[in-house]
Amino acid sequence: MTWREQADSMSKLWMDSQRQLITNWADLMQSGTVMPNSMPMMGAYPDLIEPWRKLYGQSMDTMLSDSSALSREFAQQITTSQATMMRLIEMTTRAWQTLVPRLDAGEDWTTALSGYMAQIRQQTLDQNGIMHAAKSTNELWALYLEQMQFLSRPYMDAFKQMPGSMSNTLVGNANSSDVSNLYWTAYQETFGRLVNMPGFGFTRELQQKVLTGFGAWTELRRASVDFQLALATAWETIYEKVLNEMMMRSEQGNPITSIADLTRLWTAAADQGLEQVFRSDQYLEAQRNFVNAAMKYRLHEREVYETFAQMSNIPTRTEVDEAHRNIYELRRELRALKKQLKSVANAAATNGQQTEAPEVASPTE
Amino acid sequence: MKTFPIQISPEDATQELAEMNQKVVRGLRTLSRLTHDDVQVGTAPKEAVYRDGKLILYRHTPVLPEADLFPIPVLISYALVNRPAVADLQENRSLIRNLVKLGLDVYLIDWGYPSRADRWLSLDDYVNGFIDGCVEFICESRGLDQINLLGICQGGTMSLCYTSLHPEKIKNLIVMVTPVDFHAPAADGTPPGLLNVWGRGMDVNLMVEAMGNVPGDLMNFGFLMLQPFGLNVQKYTDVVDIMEDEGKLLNFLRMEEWIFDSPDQAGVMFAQFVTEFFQKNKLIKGEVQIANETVNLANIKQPVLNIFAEKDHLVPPPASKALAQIVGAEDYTEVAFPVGHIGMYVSGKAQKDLAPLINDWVRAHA
Repeated sequence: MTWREQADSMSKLWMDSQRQLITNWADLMQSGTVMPNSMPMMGAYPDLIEPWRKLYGQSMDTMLSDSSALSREFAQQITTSQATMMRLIEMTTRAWQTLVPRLDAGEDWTTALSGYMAQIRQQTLDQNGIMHAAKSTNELWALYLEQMQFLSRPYMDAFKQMPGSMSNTLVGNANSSDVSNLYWTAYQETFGRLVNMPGFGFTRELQQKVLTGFGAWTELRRASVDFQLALATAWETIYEKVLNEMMMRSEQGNPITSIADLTRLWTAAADQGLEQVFRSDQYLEAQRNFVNAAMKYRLHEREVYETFAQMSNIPTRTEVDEAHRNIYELRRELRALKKQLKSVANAAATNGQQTEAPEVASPTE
Repeated sequence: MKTFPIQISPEDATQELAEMNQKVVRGLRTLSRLTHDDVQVGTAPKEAVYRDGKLILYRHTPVLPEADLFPIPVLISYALVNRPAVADLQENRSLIRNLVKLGLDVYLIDWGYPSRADRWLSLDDYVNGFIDGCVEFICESRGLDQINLLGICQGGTMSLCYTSLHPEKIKNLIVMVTPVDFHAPAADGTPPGLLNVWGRGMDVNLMVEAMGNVPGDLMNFGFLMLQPFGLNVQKYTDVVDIMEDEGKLLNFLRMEEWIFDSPDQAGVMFAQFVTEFFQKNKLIKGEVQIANETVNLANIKQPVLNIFAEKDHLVPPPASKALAQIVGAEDYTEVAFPVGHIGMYVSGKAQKDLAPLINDWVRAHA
């Protein structure tokens, strides 16, 4: 059989495996006492993993309905890992279906692999939705308000009192072709300038907090995109490692002969590839920026919410933290005083004085 | 012509998937019989003898008559990350039970689960407050001037700090899988572990300002990301093979129970530990300051037993062995176990040899 025929056969194997998996599981469940609530449709599905996963999950829930939460969580992990295993077969199938025609057309392995990697990169970018993201600051602003509204719905009237409609002022040019800078460029060219302008009116403090919060949120979106791109790089590395490993085994006459073998190969290669990427300067920078941006946004978000909380006489996080800090410092002081008392009592006992020692050795609670 | 890399026949695949499904079903039947009580960890008999905030000091119930116990107790100080139950996972995998059986008087610090109110707890509180409070309590209740201290992992690092600052209260110091040189490369020349690499670049003060405490779930996520496929996929694919065996399944579930029981990290302490130890590597440089006192490991003159794991990917052996260069003790012993970080508690080798090693060493240094 030619490689093309074998790749086609692999594709058929993938489809048959899915059918086999789901039929076999359904048979097993029907032969026992566990009947799922509904049977997924079969046959017409090009992808049976999701229905299988649903069936699998339902059966496990039924079987473990009286079991502990730990058992149910554990069963979910097994479901996820089985589904991932099947996805790995799918990914492998697709990879070889794309690669084999290139090899048949006379491309050498390195060129074919590199072409395939470029294809994967583009797919990853598309899948991340980066190209479909909001392209104007108005859209960004709407998204931001929507997110803020989730937690601050009762207070949204306050926004309406702000001078003018801020969203109408936020018109900018977001035609950046640099995907990772899409948000950032739009923000800098328009809204970024407004953040530093003095506010006015009785809501200026709140307005300022909301504006700087938007800045932090925009920065978080940008850092998030960069982080996703760094992870996308990791997937390229993984694919490359897996396919190279397969090719090496082919050259050694040691092909993969079982699904378990294929899963082990993926796992080992993927973790090696990920570690390589996780140690790279590019990834470390993206991870650092993402975490820092998330933390900064959280702080800005808190400032806005605390303004609303103060309006309603609700204690704020900052106030509760302050109270906790005071209690903590008092406890430290108490501990230090107890230690001092104890040394005084010990010194008195050593000097043979008859004074009764204070009770200090008992637990504090 | 080369062989096509994948040679899985449809018949073999069908057979393999059918077997896998059957194993899962049989395993689920075993799983459905188990309750949460079956997977409890840290069950060795013990009594709470002292409390300070959320800390509880336990004394493990001796199996020998009091008069036959070794007279100098051993205080175990475990890490703040995860719970000390790993030293007592189950009856036949328990460092603590093994020490108790050998006649040692074992006390264990349970740091508890810090809440947001504990955000301000610092290294000073943990070392000069909590550990010192436990040592003082044991000394007073047992009429002693000194006790033995056994520090594990991060708890070992804190024990080194404590012994350096309060050497008069510690008779002998034992440290297990304890990092001392946080920037040490692995023995084979590979760079430090991923956690270390990630930790170095983090603005932990900003994290603590934003979150107060650092959530245990976030810490767990970090651990899982060290080997995302191995720890999230392969582990649960492989477990299907042992699910039918109730004993093996219980072992697995107890480990899961321990791994995912991760307390939040008190904010200030976390920030101090990451910046001072992980990022600036101040312990080995003699630059750690606690309550305006310098932690100088040369102050540790009492006998020291340093136990490390040869295959430890979290605390590589060189990170532990660095203690030899800086500790003041003339009586310093290093012992390597051919296991990984967790294997130090659960491997057959550790079960057989670790407690006797500690017991013999402590008795030889009475």
